[in-house]
Amino acid sequence: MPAAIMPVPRSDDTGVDYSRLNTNRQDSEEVSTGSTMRSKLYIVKNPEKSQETEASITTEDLYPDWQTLNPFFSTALRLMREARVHIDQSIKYHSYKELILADNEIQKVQALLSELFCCRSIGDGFGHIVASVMHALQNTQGIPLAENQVIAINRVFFSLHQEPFINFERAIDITDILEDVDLNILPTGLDFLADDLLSLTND
Amino acid sequence: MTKAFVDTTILTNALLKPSSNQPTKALLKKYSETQLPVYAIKEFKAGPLQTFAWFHDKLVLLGSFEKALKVLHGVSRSPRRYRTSTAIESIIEVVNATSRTPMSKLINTYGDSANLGSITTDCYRLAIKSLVYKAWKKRRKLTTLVVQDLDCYEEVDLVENRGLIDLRQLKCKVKTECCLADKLRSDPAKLKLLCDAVKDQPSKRENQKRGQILTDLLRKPKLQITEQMCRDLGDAIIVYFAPDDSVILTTNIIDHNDLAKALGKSVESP
Repeated sequence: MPAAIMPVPRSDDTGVDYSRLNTNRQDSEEVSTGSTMRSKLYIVKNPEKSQETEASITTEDLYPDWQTLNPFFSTALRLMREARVHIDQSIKYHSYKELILADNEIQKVQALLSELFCCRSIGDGFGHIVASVMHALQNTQGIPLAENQVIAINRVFFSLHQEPFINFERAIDITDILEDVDLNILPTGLDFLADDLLSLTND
Repeated sequence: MTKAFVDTTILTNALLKPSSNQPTKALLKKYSETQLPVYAIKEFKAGPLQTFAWFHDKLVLLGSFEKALKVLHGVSRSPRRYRTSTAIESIIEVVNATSRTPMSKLINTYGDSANLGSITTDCYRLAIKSLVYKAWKKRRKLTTLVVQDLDCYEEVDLVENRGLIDLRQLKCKVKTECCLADKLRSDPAKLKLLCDAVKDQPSKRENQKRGQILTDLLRKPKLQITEQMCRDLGDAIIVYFAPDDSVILTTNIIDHNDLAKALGKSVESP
């Protein structure tokens, strides 16, 4: 039986917390399609006997017609997959206390972020998350990340990979994860700019 | 004392000024009760938040950080061009240095998105946008209490419209006069003390306006207080409405101190 996509009202339309609802549903998977489509979907693999299904759906499955959404979408997915492999490796090395190897994997992530940021036409939510990770790594000035910081970056990339068309306000919530582990996600010099803007307010 | 009354500058420092938010938050933590009047939220939205949103929109429309900075420095009376320019250069250097593929090659694939100027512009645009949205979202979470609602002011959420940040309502919707008018008139003795203190302050434009409004109110108690008058009273409103048993928290300690002293209140700065 083919999978059926059943639209569900957005949580903020109804006041219902669908994320919690989803946790309890065994027969389906909630997929947020971000700001572009403005709805959440449950992918029901078997509409008639939905409890028997187990298959999972990937972001790539969800957007088979990605080129119509954004020309850089497939590149972004590829780079995100690559980043997540390195982050996973880094976490593994941390668990073995191989700190240099762990840092080396994060450096590989850092090296692909500029290119990933070139895919920012996917959306401001996407751009904000990639830029935040980019600044977070730049702001450490080469000092290797602690394990909890790598885990935080992993969570952020997981969310982004799941939901590349994430809306901006949700993206801000996601990047809070980085700030919670003392990573500075703002570009260098923003303080100066903020001072200039505030002095304009006071003039 | 364990109660603090927070003014607009503290809200601004904590929410929009990355380098100042830690000391500001530390100051707030010293107090078991921190009160934020809605008047400060209103001033914050119409002032600093509006300026940040304006600059974001400038970046969107000009598509160039350098051009937007030129505009900013052109309209600012105290420009500090050197510092910001240095910051931009450092971003460009880092992007160039860390990219595994030379950015010049990426332009072939990504077009203008890989242009260093465009990357810098978007880095700052997204950072400013995140500051604006986050500041608005967290405004009521900074203190333990939000107090003194204003009947004529609604905290309308901001929206994005054609890529620009629309803060929507900035002013009060005053029907006949400012909703604080009756409360202000209820204590002429306090107004007189504030008026005298303002007159002793340096003759800045804002002090002159404030002094004139207070004088007018004392002379003509039935004078209708407009939205503009309420805004011009500014610091005097904060000091007037701060509870007697509270410490006023502000970064503008020079202006507030004279006013607070006149009413037997105290002031603290981060």
